[in-house]
Amino acid sequence: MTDPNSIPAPDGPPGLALAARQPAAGASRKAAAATAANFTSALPYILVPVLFILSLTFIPGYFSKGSIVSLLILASLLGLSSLGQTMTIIAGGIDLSIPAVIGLSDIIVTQLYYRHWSLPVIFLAIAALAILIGTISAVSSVLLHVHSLITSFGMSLVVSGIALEWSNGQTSGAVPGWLTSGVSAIGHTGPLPIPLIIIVWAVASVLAVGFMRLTRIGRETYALGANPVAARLAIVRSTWTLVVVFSISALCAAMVGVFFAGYSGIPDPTVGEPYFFLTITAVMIGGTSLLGGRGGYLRTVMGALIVAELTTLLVGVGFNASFQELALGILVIALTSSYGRELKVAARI
Amino acid sequence: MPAQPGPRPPRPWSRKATIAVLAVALSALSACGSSAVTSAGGGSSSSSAASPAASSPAAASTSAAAPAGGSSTEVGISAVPAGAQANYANYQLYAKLYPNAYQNFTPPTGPVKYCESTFYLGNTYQQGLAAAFKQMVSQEASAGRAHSDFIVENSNNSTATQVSQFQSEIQSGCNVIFIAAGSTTAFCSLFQTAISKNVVVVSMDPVYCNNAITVSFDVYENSYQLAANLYKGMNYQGNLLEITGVPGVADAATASAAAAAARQGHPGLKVVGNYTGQWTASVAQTATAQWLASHPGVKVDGIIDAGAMGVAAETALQQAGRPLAKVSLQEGDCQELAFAKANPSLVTFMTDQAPAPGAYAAMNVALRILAGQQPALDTILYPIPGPTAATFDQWYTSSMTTSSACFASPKPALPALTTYLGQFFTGGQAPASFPEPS
Repeated sequence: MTDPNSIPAPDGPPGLALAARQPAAGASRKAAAATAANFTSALPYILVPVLFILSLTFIPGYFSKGSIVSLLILASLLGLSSLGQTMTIIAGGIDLSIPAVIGLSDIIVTQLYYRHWSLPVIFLAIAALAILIGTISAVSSVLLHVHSLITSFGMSLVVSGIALEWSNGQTSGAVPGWLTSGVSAIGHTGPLPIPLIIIVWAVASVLAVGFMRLTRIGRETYALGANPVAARLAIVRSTWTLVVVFSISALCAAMVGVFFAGYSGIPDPTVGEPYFFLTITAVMIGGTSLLGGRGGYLRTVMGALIVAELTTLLVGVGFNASFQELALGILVIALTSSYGRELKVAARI
Repeated sequence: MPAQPGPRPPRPWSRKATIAVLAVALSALSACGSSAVTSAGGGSSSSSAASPAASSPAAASTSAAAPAGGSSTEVGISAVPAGAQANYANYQLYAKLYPNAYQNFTPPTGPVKYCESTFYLGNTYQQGLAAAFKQMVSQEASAGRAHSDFIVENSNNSTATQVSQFQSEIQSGCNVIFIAAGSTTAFCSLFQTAISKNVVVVSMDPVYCNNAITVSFDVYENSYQLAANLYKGMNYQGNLLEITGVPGVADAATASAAAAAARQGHPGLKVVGNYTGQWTASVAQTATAQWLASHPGVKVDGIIDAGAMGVAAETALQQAGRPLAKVSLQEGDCQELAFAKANPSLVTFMTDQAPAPGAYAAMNVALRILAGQQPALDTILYPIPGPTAATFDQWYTSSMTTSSACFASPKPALPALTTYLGQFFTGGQAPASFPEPS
């Protein structure tokens, strides 16, 4: 049986404590490298307040509840859809079916609610479908011995086809008022003057971080992503782990689809398309390695906030869409380059 | 000999390169990915008031290669039947008129195989077009005049893919191909191939070559009217948000140019935000929400909607706790009609660009050519119907809500459209009846 404690702590600065164990020779050089590694590792946490201060500086009247809540709503949509993506990437995979699942979920909730289905039944149906989609992506990846990039992309096409066929351009939909309020900047959650989606994102973030750090399957996810062969030898439950993380990814995407239904109010099978790359962007900017085995959801939370803040800042100061793409691309390159400068494992032991 | 301990070698360049390549690829793909958040808005404080002639796609295309096949000589407005010339105002800014290229067309014998090639099937308009064609082909098949299978190829915004798909449709024996082309010139040689194989090609957007029949409405004139009525409704004063279509697509540039032209001479109007909504409600709503978040003190008085995005922008205003703005709506879909019913004072003008009348017009023209009739020219521009205060109830039904993504029934528009199209054709025997989308 694998001892979860034998797997190194997955997130957080790896260099400093380990570097302290190095022999005296070259210690100063390694200490400097470790300090640099710590700094780059902390960059996402630094960028969030820095971008916020820049927005306050350059956008007149930005420090208002409406602006901040609007920003958090957009970040929540991205952050929730990136939650499962973070886990699949840490496990050494990637989930390209997220946009399609968002679209299908949007269609299901708007159309079935319009036909007077009860909401619990709708949500259960969506959850079951999401778990099925995630399971198929994961199991087919294992059985066919192909990367999940292929299987999840295939699932994406299948799910998109179903959503398009279902909507067929002649659709009517309806959503409950509380769902619309839940993604509105002026919405309330009970007595709290905060829209539901922000609270859901906060709760989901805590659960996700705890899941990855404290549970056996969370640690197995890191082990699988770090070295699949070694993980198998260490009796990590590879298939089960992939099924769980891909199902979580699909469930999160389905949840975003439900919120999008409340957000736009209309059935739209393509509503998730922007998230095809944005979820990966948020994960990368946060500092989770695309190579698997390292990172964490707290970093992706920072990544989602950075994406939302940066684009809002650029819109606010008058840059057009092309420049926003350019700025985001430069940020991705700059941050991923700095993350790549952390100490190698062999240098840390 | 054991390796000497010492400083570790630097990180292998290959891994750095891999990371850099991944990052570059992601950012490049992201740019192509129609990102809602990252595409959200410019916030330019000045309008893009280029002169319409200079910025129109037709003007821009004058330096393009001459049409492949057919005649390269344009015909003038005199080729248009007298009763239709009013619908060709400023046509030079939107389309080119060539002679009919189907003079030697031989109608096929037996059931006709219908196909469609579209550059994008991701929005409700294009889905509605395909659905309307399918319904009409089904009716033709029931009457024994068509194959029951209707083939639709979607290139998902890739012109290169659409070229390939169009070619395969020609080779697969399609007799009629309806095309929503992703380019005004990329298909010219293929259109000529289609003619040589006796295939009727009906384009639902202008193409700048003389070997397909274009059946459309004048986007420039329509956009101008929508904008002019909006400005008039605002008493030519106030702040405007301009939400544009897909960047790089001819219709988007045309609509923007028309809106700018209608603003000329009205300095009280100011475009405070200009961003793309990609003709998709959810994208437009997200972009508008982001613009509002970054412009907390800027009042919005009017919305220039390039199509299918006006109600989404109003929803964003509402969700931000802002007052709703005036808007001209052009889709004529259920949510627009429901919004107009609930907010009559905000909607300054409406047209019904629902896909069903457009599909009906294209099918009508195809059936006439299949029946041996000859059009007067290759570009048929038809008038856009639209509800007025007096006729609003012909379009609106009480089941429509702002959450409806359906389209109103096309029935009110079809009789006049049939009569209008008839004046373009001579010779042959017009079909006794035409299939109608529901």
